[in-house]
Amino acid sequence: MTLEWQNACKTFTDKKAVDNLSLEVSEGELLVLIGPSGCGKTTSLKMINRLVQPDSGAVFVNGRDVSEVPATELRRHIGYVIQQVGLFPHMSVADNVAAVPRLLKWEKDRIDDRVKELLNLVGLPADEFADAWPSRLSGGEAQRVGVARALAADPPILLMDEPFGAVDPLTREVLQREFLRIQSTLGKTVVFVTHDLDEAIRLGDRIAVMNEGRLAAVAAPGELLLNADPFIRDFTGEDRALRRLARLSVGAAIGEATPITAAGFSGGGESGAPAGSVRTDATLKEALSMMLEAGETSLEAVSPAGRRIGKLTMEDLLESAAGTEAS
Amino acid sequence: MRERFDVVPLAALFLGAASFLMPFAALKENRVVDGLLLNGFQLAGPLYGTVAVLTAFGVLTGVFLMKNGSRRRLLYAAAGVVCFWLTAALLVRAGMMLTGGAAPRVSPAIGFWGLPAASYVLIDHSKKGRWRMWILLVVMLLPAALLLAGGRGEAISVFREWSARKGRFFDELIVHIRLFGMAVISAAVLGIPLGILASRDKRIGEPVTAFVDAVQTIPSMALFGLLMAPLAALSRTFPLLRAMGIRGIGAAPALIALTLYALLPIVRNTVAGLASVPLSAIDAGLGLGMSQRQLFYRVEWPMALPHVLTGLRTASVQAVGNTAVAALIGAGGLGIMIFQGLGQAAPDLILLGVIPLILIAVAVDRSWGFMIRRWVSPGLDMKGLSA
Ligand SMILES: Nc1ncnc2c1ncn2[C@@H]1O[C@H](COP(=O)(O)OP(=O)(O)O)[C@@H](O)[C@H]1O
Ligand SMILES: [Mg+2]
Repeated sequence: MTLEWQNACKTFTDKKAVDNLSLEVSEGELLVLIGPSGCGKTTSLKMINRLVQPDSGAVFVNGRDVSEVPATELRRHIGYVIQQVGLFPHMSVADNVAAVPRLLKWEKDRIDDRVKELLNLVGLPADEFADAWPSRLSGGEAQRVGVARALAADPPILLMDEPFGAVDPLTREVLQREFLRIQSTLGKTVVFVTHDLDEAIRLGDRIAVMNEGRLAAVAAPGELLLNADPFIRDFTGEDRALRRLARLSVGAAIGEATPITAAGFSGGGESGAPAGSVRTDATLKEALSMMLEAGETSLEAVSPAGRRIGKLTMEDLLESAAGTEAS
Repeated sequence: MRERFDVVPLAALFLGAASFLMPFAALKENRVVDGLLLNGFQLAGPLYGTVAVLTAFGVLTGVFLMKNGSRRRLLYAAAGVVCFWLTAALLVRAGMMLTGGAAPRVSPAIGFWGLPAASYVLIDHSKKGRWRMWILLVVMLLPAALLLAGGRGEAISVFREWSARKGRFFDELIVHIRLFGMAVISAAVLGIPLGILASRDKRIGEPVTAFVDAVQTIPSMALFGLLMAPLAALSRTFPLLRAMGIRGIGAAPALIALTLYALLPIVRNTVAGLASVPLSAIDAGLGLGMSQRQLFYRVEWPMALPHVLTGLRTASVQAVGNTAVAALIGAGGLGIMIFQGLGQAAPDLILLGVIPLILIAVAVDRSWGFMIRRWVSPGLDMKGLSA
């Protein structure tokens, strides 16, 4: 399923919440909408499921103008995780997750099976959580239920409005990792709203930055950190170069394509690489930190198995940070 | 630690003990003379009196010493039952001590009220499960009922008044229950949809709230009076209405006034209940694809229910009392006995009206409590509402 905003505008009283937004999301893509609070992210998102009617312009789902689709019909086939979780407090966790299948009048057995499957998918054992009341859940558990509820009827499109906003950074990272795992198997078309740049970089296939209702930039995460536009530079912060290095592996910098792995995160030291060397699956940010720590300008690059691959120098890091290296 | 220091039942225990030592009942020769005031100790006699006082000391010491909360609550239950038994026993003793007179009777004094009050509070604070509550009630009421049924209650003043007008009493009781019941039902049938409309549309909401607020500020006597004139006029003009029993006095104006009074808590709470539904829940409901109707029945109404039911509870309990005033315009009910008693300066007759009034109010309040626990989702927070 594809999505598209075409010159969409929305004004509340006299404030332009969304100003001439044109943007496309392709099938299976995870697009992150990011920007300061009040810049129009939620409003843009709600245009897709018709919770907000654009004043002018249009929104298309799979090439079809959404204003021609009955609102309830449209919404039952678009997963929606709302900003403040918004679980129904008077319904059990299972009933919350079953909300859309019930609207679609599924058979009871089918609903029960689906609820169990989904709770287990989002890491909440059904035996333990199905009958729980939302008020008893922790912030992280509530957000998982919110995601499960959105996925219930297996919609091809998922709208997520700051879905992990209300939890501590540690839980947030766990939720992000699990969401990436789920998304890698489901392959939904996702619009993901956040105001957390690290989250955007970690999750997004592309990142759309909004400012005062307008689209300021759309780019893959690596490119975005190289964007010279003053607002984008300011938004991505003083440590944008470090963020860029955090996205690249040592292997990529020395011409040996290597994905960053969880083990690579722990860098050389403990994970078995000898002193003065760095694993190819570590990030360049970690490599820089190790150089600074050791007072060296170069490190041996070794494979995760410990085989020597080449040399990583400060010049490699400078080049990567400047962005001449393809990301 | 908070559990260790429960002030309310402790105060009730002291109240019970004090009530035993305060004047309990007056022995009178007829309805109007001042009688001989006796306290519990005097009525029980030195032997039983001493036993009772020592038991009270024992219980108080026990409460202070006991660390185990559930065992302490068991002690409250026992003390509550004993307080109630003591009330019945003392009344019977007083009846046995009566000597001659035209219409001899036992008139309750302060102690008579203190003991059952203490009993009520103690039992209330001992409750654990619903079943245990019923067993407790039976254990508590059985000996008292047996004593009174055994004819020993004859001498008690309220019973004298009662046996003098049994038939009338039950008629008025039924009239009372029917009147307040119909008023609450009409107020609910009108008030809930009105509240829903008011919360949907400001143009309806503002005048409706202004109206129900205004009604509440009119004293009930004045409201009954206000309704008499127009209804009398209507009745004169339209014979059909007169045939239906609509006149300036009687049940019709009373029912209208009582309904108007019951409207306020119901409308108010319906509006408050629907306003309490967070925007996030509404957004979620719509976002998942609910129609407006589905949103109302599946999300808004169940979430507003705690408020709505609390409003009905308040309205019902108030209506029980307000209905007594309706007797003044000829609607009947327990108020008849109260106002007759006031007119004849006969406190016993007043009590014959007031005691069932209190019992009905408590029963109605408890029934709503039961219904609220049954109907409101356990996932909802009832804090801030009297559950
Ligand atoms: N229903 C509404 N009525 C009036 N103003 C609104 C409404 N929804 C959003 N706005 C305003 O529009 C702007 C954009 O809001 P929103 O899309 O929620 O921003 P974001 O999600 O990026 O924080 C804000 O200034 C907000 O106050
Ligand atoms: Mg928002």
